[in-house]
Amino acid sequence: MKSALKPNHYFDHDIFEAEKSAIFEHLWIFACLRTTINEDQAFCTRTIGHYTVIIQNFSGVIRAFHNSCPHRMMPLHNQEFGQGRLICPYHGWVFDENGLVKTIPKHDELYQFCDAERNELRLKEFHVSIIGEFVFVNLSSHPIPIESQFSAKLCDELSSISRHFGDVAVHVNIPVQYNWKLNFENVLDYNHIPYVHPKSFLPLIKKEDKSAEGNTKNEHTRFPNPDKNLIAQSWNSTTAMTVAHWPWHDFVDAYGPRDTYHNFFLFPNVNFISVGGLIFLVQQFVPIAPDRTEVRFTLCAARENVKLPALPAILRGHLKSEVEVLFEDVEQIEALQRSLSEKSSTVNHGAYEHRLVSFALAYLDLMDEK
Amino acid sequence: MKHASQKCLQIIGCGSVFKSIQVDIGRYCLDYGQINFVEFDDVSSIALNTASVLSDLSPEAADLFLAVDQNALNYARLELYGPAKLKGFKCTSMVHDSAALGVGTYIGENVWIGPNVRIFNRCNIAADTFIAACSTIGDDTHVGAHSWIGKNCLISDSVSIGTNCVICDLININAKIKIGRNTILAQPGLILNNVQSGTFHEFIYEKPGHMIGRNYSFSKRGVSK
Repeated sequence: MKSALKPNHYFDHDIFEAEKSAIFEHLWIFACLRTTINEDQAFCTRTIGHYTVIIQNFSGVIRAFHNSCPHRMMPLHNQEFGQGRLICPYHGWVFDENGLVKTIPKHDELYQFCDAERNELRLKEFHVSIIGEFVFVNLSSHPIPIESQFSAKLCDELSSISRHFGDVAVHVNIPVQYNWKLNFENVLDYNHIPYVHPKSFLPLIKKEDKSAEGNTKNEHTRFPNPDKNLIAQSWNSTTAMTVAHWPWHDFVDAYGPRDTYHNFFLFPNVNFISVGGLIFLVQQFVPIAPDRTEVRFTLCAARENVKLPALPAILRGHLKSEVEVLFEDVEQIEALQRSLSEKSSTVNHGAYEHRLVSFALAYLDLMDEK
Repeated sequence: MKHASQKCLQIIGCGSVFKSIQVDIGRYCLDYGQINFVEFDDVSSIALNTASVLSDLSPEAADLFLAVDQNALNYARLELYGPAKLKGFKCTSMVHDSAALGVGTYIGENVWIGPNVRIFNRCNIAADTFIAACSTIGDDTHVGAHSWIGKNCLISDSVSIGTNCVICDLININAKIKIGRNTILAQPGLILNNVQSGTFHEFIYEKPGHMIGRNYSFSKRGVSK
């Protein structure tokens, strides 16, 4: 089956710009885990579509604003994660939790805005929706209902698993040289695991369940037809996995049975996994340029029942292992990106790749390309 | 209480520091009646075997030196050090005879100062910290507990290094810099700015990794209470 995507969908600058509006400023986009901003005035910053966005905790309420002071368009926060009030570092303007300008130093002397002008000086606010500990932002002024992007069943499962998240995480951004869609397609394609991860990931998957779609094993006789509906692009599965026991496992509130690998696909650009309900990793494929992506890893452990002094070492060790697996993919996907040109042929998908075919159809639907 | 010369010293651990002490034990000017080495196969066996190794010893008869490298932000060494302290053992420190310590410098217990290390005046090297060969530490510098400073480092004056840090080989830290706890600096070079707690500056990452959330990114700057 020929893919609906053409080679230029992976390197064309105009298509890349169109994606920002049609996909990233239209859909609900994962911003951060609430556990990473769960104190008053804690924030994270993100670039989504054409906007830089602040996601900030105001006394327990999470709000999102354009990270741009209405005075000179200076970003209010420059760090990716931090804690601090909405104060412009350039001229000291202070904003409240509604995005309204609260204080302008030396206003009467230097600025002299009338009341009507001053009321216009507010940060543009964006819609926020939270599923469990997953914070999503929608940049559209009339956002689609989040229920049309993620099914109720999926939302329930995300809520359920994320109740087990610890309140400390480790985060890293990994720049890679390929289009963001290639990485999302890569995580949908479980058949690459024996070839790209023969020593790292494959040995952990139990022999009786070698498909990463887990509970859909033996599906080879009944692959479903591709489904271009938006809601069908986000789904989850479990796979039997060998999880080595470490002493710290006995001191955390793990999710579900051990020896299970949980895999969530959140369209358009998030893959959330859990190893044994003990370690949780959100990997997000953030578009930077047509042929450049930033892979954002946020990894946490299950919530501690007793304080684990070595938690930083545990998180750092698991992060390193996950990044090493990613690098095995990166080597292949960067080679694929380099090989693409206008002259490249269109991809030929097999029956097992119905998820990738569906992804392409849903993507084109959103891009309004028939 | 027995005088040190009547007690025995048990050097327990594995890895590069353990081996370097083993081959060079005569250079540490130790005043013990007997010195024994107990070597683990690797760091992963420490947690499993610590209890049995310590159960054969008594604090009255033996002092300890726990020699494990910087594995897992030094928590591998802490897996030995913590239970040993809970059982009441005294841990000795080991200073190589080619090392030089300045006036007013304090060395905590279970500290290893390797060959040709120079530590200037009024420094505080907290417990269970290892400083490898040929590194230099300037005046008034504080190195937190359970930390590691690699070979040929130059830590300038008035630097503060938090607990459980790993400063790898060939790193220079400018004067008055603060390095937060649980930090790894693995790329040789000059550190000119403060480093926040939970920063992992490792070769595997083009951009450093960071601990975020409780007690990390929540730094309280500009937050009204």
